Amino acid sequence: MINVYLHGPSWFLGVDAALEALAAFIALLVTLASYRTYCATQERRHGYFTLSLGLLTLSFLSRSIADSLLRGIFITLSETTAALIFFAGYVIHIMLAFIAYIILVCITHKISDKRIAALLFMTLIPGLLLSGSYYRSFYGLSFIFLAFITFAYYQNHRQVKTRSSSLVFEAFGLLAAAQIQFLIQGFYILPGDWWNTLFVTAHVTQALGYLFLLFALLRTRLVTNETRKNRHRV
Amino acid sequence: MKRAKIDIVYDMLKAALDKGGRILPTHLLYKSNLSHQRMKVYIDELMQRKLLAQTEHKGKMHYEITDEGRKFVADFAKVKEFTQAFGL
Repeated sequence: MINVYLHGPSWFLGVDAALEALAAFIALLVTLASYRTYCATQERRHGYFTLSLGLLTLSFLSRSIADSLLRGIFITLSETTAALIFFAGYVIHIMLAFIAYIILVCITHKISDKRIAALLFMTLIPGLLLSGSYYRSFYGLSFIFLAFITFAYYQNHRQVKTRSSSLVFEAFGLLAAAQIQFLIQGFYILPGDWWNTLFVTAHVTQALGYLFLLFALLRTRLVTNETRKNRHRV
Repeated sequence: MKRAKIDIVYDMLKAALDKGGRILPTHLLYKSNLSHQRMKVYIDELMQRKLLAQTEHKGKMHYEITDEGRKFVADFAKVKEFTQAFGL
């Protein structure tokens, strides 16, 4: 028997699904841009980056659809159907997000040994399955991965020093901060209704992180257009 | 600092473009700043990807940039900015 636990205040029902859909949409835009660079360069790491962002897109899409259905936005579900949708939607979300994060960790930290990537993935299995709470394990492990990715992007920004690289670093920093909020919220240790508020702020922080990623992507295009204009002027 | 593959490809195509779209192998070798062996590997890949084509002009073998190659040079700044921002 699967128990369906829905977090957050009642007024937030559906808003979380919409924010997850926004994250999926932005991840899709980055995937398409990344695929374009892969086509131009034919470099394997660009291919892996495209794959990683593509998996994140599907992960958030799965979570968004599951949350929309579970919160009864489109249809009212029976208890068994709700349990099935909860299980399928969240399992897909968790697994795809982890694979995406592992690929991102390997790319950003330039880990080329596939055995290490496999080791990282295998350590997740007991971390999730043997845990008393999949929710806390997921956000705890996600925070660790995203903190490592953020650190790599901080180093990248120090080297490259462009506004886009700064935005990417800030985006991943916000995503890591969101995971910490989800994690604390999952312990229900906060007094009063604060744990509900933290659920909302975690979602907003995550959405902000993806918006920063979108700004970085848009900036990439804008900077290029300026460069091109300047080149024509010369 | 070691050049990334994308930079080497850009340097080679840009060299051909700067010479009016057609360049002699020796000039390309000099402009791309690669060993003969490395340049051969890159030329094979560029020709396979249809960014560069082998042509004959006034009895001499040349490498000519294709329309795809011109498009690559035009998009290079965008791709470079993206790869730098995302640490690729």
